[in-house]
Amino acid sequence: MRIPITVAAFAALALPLAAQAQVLPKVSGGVELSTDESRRGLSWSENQLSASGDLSAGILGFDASARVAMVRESSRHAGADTVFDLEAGHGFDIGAFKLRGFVTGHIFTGAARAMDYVEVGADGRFSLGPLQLNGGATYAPDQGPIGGDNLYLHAGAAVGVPSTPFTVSGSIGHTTGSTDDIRAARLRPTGDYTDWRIGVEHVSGPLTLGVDYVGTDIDTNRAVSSPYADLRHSGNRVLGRARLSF
Amino acid sequence: MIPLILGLLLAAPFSEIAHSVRIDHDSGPVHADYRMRVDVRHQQLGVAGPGGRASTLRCRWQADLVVDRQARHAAGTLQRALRQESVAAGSRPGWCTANRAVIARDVASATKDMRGAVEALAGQDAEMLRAELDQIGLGTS
Repeated sequence: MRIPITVAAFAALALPLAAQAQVLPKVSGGVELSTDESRRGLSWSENQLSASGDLSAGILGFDASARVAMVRESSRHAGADTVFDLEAGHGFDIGAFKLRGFVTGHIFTGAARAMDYVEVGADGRFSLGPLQLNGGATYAPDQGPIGGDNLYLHAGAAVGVPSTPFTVSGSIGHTTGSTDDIRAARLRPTGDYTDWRIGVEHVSGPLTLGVDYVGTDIDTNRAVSSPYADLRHSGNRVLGRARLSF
Repeated sequence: MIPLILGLLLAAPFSEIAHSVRIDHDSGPVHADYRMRVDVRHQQLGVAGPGGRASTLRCRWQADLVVDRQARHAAGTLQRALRQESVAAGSRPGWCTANRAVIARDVASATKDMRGAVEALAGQDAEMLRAELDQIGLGTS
């Protein structure tokens, strides 16, 4: 049932694409190597090296993207090997504001159980000189693979250091949900929590090198019964990444 | 006040003359004006992705210098656009559409002094202009 929801989202996106066939879509992509696949402060790859690739196309405010990343038989995802993030979105520009709504499907391969789930969300970005601010909300409706619903609120900032190829960024997020059962521990290991990230990026042509410090306020020494909580990989850590964009 | 505003509006689309040369050709003297403008190309990179992981969104920009030549000659006006690609380039995190104003400022500061580049393009054009004039000369003789 889960894959068709994502497919439906892409089919909805295809309609304006067909109607405006004379306007060419803008396509971009990239490959990335990261010492950890980190999401919302939680490791999705058991704190191990992860490779990913992504492809994105945009036309007339609509965008669609696909990303695949190695999750290294993560216990958080029932031993899955890879995750595919399929996303369709639509953005509006209001002056220097960019507002965007989106639907994302997370599809896992190699998992021992059904682990796929869907999210909807909205975010906004605003540029002020070299400073860029962003914030948004992502909501996953009640679904079995994540043991209930899940809401993520986040805000961040990025600033390009003038006359250097460096960008410094930081973000903070808070995850809440209505249930605390075994499956809910997958995205909320010990219940509601806060995560943060500060990082620096160096950009030269198509190559981006980055170092991030990510952390959570999760008590990783607590005893939990859920096999999905993966508390060992839910705490603070430093990760490095290299990305080639094209 | 109104004539002043009107004057500004009219003046805005035209770039100032960056360089002028006079060529003495067999078919008569030619006065060539070179006006510069900067073409900016944006390329959106990365995927948006929901919050909670490092964003890969980035807007790469490239500025091309375009010099429009207008050579006035007794037989008519000879026009040509000369282009030098990527006189400046850079990138900004995030969406291109949200960054357009910031990138415009980046481009303005990176292309502040283009006099040397304009003169170099005009110098390369002298040969081409002479060839075009020779053709006119052949056509009228």
